[in-house]
Amino acid sequence: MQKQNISINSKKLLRLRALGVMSLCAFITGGLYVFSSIIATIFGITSVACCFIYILIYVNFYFRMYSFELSSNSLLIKKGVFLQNRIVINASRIQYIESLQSPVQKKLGMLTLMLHTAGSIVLLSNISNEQAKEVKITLLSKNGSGLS
Amino acid sequence: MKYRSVSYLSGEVRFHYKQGVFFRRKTFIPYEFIHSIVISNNIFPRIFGAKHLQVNSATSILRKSAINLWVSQKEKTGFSNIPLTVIYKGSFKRILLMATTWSNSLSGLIILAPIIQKVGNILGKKYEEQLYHTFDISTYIAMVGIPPLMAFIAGFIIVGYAVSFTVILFRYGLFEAFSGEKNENFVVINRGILNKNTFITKTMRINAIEIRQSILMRLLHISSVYINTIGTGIIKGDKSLLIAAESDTVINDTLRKFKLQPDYFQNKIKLPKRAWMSYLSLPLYFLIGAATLLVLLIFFGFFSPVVRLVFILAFPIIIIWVIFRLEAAKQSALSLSDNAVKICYFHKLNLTKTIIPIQKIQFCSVKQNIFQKIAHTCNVQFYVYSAKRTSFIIKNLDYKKTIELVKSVEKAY
Repeated sequence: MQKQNISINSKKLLRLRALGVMSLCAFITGGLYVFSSIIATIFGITSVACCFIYILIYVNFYFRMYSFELSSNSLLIKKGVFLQNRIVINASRIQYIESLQSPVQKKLGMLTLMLHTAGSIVLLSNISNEQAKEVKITLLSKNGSGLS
Repeated sequence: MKYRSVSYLSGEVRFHYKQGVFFRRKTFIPYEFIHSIVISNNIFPRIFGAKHLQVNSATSILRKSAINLWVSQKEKTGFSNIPLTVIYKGSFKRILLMATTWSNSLSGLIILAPIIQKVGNILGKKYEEQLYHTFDISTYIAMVGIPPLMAFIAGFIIVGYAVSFTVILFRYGLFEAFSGEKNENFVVINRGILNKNTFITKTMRINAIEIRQSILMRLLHISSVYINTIGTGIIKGDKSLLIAAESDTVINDTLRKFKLQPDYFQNKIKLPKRAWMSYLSLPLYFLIGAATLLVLLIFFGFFSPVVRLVFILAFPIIIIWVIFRLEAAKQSALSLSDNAVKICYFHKLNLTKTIIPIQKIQFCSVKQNIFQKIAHTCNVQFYVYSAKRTSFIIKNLDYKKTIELVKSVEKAY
């Protein structure tokens, strides 16, 4: 059982999302400026500061703390920065596996796996295509479902 | 056309159901995939000679059954041929006690208010007001010498409680739970006085058993037992009750007869003393906040009779809340047997013990926030086989011991 991190490109994706949010905040700041320059300034500075902290510090921690270990019949996922979450999902409990890929993820060679159990879904986000294939083959073959 | 379009057949291997006028829909459910069946024999359909059948499978989403069917009262639903043994019969005294502990004014008022409004919509404003005045008992309370405002509030509380009590009594009156005599896997639950309901499932379809105790039930040393399977909670007001307010001895005995109680739980992890504060923090903050507010109001001279009444009501409630949280902290534990996990925790104002067969656990999630990391505690959440993401969580257990126990559970899958 080898511990693997999610794709290194996930950092790029998260930073892109943060920049998108920062652009949105810039629009809101512009709109607020019409009503009150002080509130707009405070909001603008706060949002820029939060975005920079997110991009420079949080993303690195997120990447370091998101890992998974694939064994012959189970998958252990550890994720979360402020709220650490440890999930072990057995192959026999998986009903089917779904993969989601946004255009940006496709460009960066990543996707998100949704592991469906009876009544719940476990997400394994931003893993590389090769990692996803390995997970699907290992878990679904143990499940007896064949390849999806 | 709608009536003619519906047909059903109970085959050897599966249940067939067809419906739809313009868009025909055919449903075939193999019997092995049926998790539960609910038969509702309510008062109004009974007048027309009908009853409602709902068949639930793992594909039933949220509150919608896989099959919804109106059948004739004379239609035999198949279970009349199976000999059944009464395992548990809720005595009238127990149902009365349960209704007393379950009832609350707010739910009664929520039931009553739309009825009064609907009467007004159908019959007119005059009848709505007459009905409202029928339920308004504040004048009678005021005659005893209580101030009008307090009489008005007391009237609402009493009427709400009485309505809630009556509804629960009628909903759970004549409560019986059966097991199939030859085929002991069946669990059949009958309940209701005017609106009768029958719930049918198999022992192996039960995902979890919950034993709940409210504060009042704790004082009386009684608990109620509920089952969790696909199809429970689909009917409005259904609490999936298996055993009404009974003592621990009766509950253990009844569960053993249903073959639902594992014999011995080991590896018990109790709440560490350092985590007790996390249970008590919220009510203590409220207590400190209320005391501070009281002091400020007295200091600024705003201590009117209404404010005094609010504080007289609020302080005992907060103190009861603190005592409840203390009991919850004492009782909280996680333990394991050969084939089940037992979680003792609290949910809203109920102390709950949940027994989950290991085979029904889908996965376990162990969570730790920053403060829990420092205190070496964690939260554990068990997700069970269900149609709607059902899980059971216990908070602030010792991290190392919990991980060991969770690994044992995962090995046993």
